[in-house]
Amino acid sequence: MSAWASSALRLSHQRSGRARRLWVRLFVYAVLAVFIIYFAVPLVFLLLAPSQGSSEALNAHPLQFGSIHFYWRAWSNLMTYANGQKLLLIWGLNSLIYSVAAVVLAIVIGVPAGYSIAFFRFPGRRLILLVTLIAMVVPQNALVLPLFIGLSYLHLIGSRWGVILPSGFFPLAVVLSYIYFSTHFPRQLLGAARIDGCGELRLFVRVVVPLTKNVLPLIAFFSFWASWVNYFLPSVILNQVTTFSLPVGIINMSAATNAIIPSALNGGLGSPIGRPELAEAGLFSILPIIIIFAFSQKFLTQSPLSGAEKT
Amino acid sequence: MAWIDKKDAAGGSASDIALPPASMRDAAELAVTGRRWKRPLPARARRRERLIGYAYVLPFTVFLLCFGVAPSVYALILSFHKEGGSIFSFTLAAYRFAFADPVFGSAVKHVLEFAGVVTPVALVLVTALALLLHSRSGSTAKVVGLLYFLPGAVSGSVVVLIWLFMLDPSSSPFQSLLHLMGWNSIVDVLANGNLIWVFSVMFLWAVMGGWIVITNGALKNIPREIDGAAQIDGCGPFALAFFIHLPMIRKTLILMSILVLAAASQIYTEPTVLATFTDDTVPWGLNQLSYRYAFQFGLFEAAAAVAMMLVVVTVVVAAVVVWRLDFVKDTQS
Repeated sequence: MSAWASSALRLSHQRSGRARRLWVRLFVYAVLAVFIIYFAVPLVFLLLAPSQGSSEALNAHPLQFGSIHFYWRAWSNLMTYANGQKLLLIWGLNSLIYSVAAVVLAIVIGVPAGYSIAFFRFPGRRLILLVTLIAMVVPQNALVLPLFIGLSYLHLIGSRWGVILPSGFFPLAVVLSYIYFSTHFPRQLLGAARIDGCGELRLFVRVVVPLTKNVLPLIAFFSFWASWVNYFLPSVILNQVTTFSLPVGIINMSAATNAIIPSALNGGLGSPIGRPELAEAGLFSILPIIIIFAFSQKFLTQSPLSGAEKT
Repeated sequence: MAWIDKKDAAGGSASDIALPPASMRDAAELAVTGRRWKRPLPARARRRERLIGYAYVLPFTVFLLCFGVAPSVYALILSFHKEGGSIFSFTLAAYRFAFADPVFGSAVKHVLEFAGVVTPVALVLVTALALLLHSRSGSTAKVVGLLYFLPGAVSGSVVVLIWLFMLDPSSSPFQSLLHLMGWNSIVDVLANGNLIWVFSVMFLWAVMGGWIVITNGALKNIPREIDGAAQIDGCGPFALAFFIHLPMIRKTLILMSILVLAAASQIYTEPTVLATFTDDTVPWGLNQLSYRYAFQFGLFEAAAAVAMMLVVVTVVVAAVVVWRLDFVKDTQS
């Protein structure tokens, strides 16, 4: 095509293009907005529901702010639930314990394994890497029932360890640290330190660990998150109210009322727990992780799969 | 870093007299790059390397065996175990029992339908939304992406709770929509035929945001020059998205579809939590059925049989993913 023809084409493109581009933009924003409604409205509802109180909810619009006062009332109702045992706080503490333990185990166990697979040659290395990769792809839920059956054989059902120890098996930690070590870690550093007479343990603790600052937050984030939102495993393993995690406890609490499905026959009359209380408990369970999300946005955009498509 | 390189070079020449540290470094480089090694390491150094390597990987291997491999193997053996027989007496009774149970048949049907709905919907929506986000400026994409992602912060059980509020025509912000569908109470919404859609809405709500962010990340990695070249050739925004960007993120999309499919086959939380509210005693999904066998009826063999079918399917799928998509090149070297 000659230069003349191409510039004429570009000109006509620009004229008709202006109006069309506006429509395209409107279309894009409309679609994005529809899905903002789908994703965000339930969370907004959860945020506002406690403010309406229980009786007021019938008249008010679901997304209307009632009174700040009702948050306190719902909170005190939650605290007096089950004879004022403050179960919600206990569950929150349990969730925190399980999740922090999961982070510590994932890092303490996963990072050395990733280091070993990246830098050492030994028989079985490829097998371990392969099994780890497969285990990473298998959904967490798939192994819960075999675990449940195995733990019942060992009479470990009901023990907190039944929840904590399995979270030490977190293949993603190994894979993330392995990828980090084999792609971003200055390998010559190891040789240099060894020549300087640095022992293996000291090398790992003093040289390698301080240089994992980029990957540790990522591992911590994913293991904390996975453990915090997990329902299947703790619901199957734990059987005492005081050992429940938040997701298990909240469902246990809401099952004892008829606030969700009024026609259900599970009684619950006279329970202080109604919809505002359940919404507030749900909010309480989400808040910590939302805060972590907000502070770690940087890590979310650098997902472990980014770079997978680089050609 | 210059001083390190210099030292390193010096060390390299000295290592000809088989200083263990330097030869270890050679071996480490080999382990990572997969290049042939130039001269064989002294046996002692190799043994040392092997031992240290094992020491670092040992704790994880123990956990892998205890909480991944051993339970699966135990469940597998249990599923073929003859009641009252020795460990070596095999029988298919547990599988026959499950196949004869009509609830098992309906659970298989439910899970297949659920996965069949959720996987294509997730694929289409995630692709479309990621492409649309990518066409917007950086800050819009970031904020909207975060909004889509937030439901991922909610535990599966609380997701059910929230969506039961959302689906109750008496209190939902989507009231008018629900009335439009002819549902006047939560009981109408939760009619048996609707459950698959109810669970799909819940599942997709929590899962899609993360994949949109990941897919968007993959799109960001496409070099800008390609966009520029295509635009000069007269490529419009839609053509750019469909014919240039889409093929370049194919791998991420395949991976997503398979992982969503695998996760969907494991559906447990949604039907189980719902059942605690509706007092429904018939298990809806397979995991739920397996748990019911073990926990309520003490039929551990049958529970193991159902669980094993799920585990085998997902492990095979996972192995195919790892093998076919070779997302870590090193496993082939």
